[in-house]
Amino acid sequence: MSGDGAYEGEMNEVALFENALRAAVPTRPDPALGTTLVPRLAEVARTATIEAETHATRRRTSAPRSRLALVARVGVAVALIPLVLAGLAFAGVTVPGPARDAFNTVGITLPNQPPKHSQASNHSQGPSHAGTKGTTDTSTSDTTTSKGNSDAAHEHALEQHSKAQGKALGHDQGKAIGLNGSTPPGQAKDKGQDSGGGPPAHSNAGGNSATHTTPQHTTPTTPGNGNGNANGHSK
Amino acid sequence: MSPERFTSLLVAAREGSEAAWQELYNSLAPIVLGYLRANSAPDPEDVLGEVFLQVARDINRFDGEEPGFRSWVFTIAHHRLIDARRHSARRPVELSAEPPEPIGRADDAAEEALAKIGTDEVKRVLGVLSDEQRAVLLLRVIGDLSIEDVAKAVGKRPGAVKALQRRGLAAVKRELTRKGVSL
Repeated sequence: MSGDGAYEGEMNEVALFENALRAAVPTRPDPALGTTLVPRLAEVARTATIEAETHATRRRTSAPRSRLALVARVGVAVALIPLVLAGLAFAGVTVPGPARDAFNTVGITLPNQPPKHSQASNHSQGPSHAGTKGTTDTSTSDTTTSKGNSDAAHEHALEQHSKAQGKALGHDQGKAIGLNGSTPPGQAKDKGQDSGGGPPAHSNAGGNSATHTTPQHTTPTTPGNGNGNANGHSK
Repeated sequence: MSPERFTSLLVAAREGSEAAWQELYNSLAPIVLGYLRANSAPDPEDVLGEVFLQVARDINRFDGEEPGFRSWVFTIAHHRLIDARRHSARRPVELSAEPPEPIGRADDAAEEALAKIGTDEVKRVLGVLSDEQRAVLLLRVIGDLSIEDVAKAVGKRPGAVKALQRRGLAAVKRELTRKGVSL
């Protein structure tokens, strides 16, 4: 043992103390203690060794059982999945399509599930609100992905497409005929004839002129009462 | 003791050989009891019995050479000493003032008297140390434990053990110088 920086003389003194300590401290225990303790120590050690060996053997034998228990636990967990899905369906939750198909393949129809057609229409309706382009996209994608839903989806897409076309036509016509009031077609024609200051001929000619104007209606019209006569003729 | 001899002794002790335990007890009991007495353990022989019983219970877990075994036994002894101190603090008992009996007893009366003086002086000097300083010095000197082993036994870092040892030795030197005692 070093004194870590102590002087040599001091170290000698401490070394003497250490020697005295080594000589003085060890003491003989009572012989009676050794007589009673040693057989007990041997017995305790023997028991501890046997226990340790038994424990090790038990651990080795219990290992396969624990593996079997793990497999059983996994099996129970897997078996619980369809039960949980069926329970959710009974509770009114819409089960995902693949899970429903899996039940259908084994002949079980889950309750509270929407029919296939409505599901398909729901799928195609979503994007159709965005515009006619979206509708055609959906119809093509449906056709390519699933054969079962493609017919319904295609029909629906066509329907949506025609609706959208109709809307577009009406809108364009309305704009061209009804809304573009600054220079309606009728007024442009009658400008040269309206020299007498009568009411303008375009008052109710806007919507009809495009469809009902014929050469018979326009020829008998005279300046001054053109508007009234024209109406009378047309009726 | 050679490493082979110690290994065979350890195997025999694990199997419950009384002869092996007798040998281990004879070689370790005196210094462990001395350590317990020097640390003022309450009822040191009782604590010694507990120490060896724990050694017997846990001997299957030990794996190593003789120095390691010695260090392991002293670590157990230190822990049992702390337990005994705590126990006696809760239920104080009257300690017998029986003086320790040195192993290296002199044959003639003069040497015996000198040895007695030395022992008393050692006890007195140890008395001026703190509990931690005393434990560290005794584990280092009596148990022949390394700084690391002492650190494990007392539950401190090696740096703290070195500091305790340095301060303990300084206190011993001061006390020896003050009294002018020759050991």
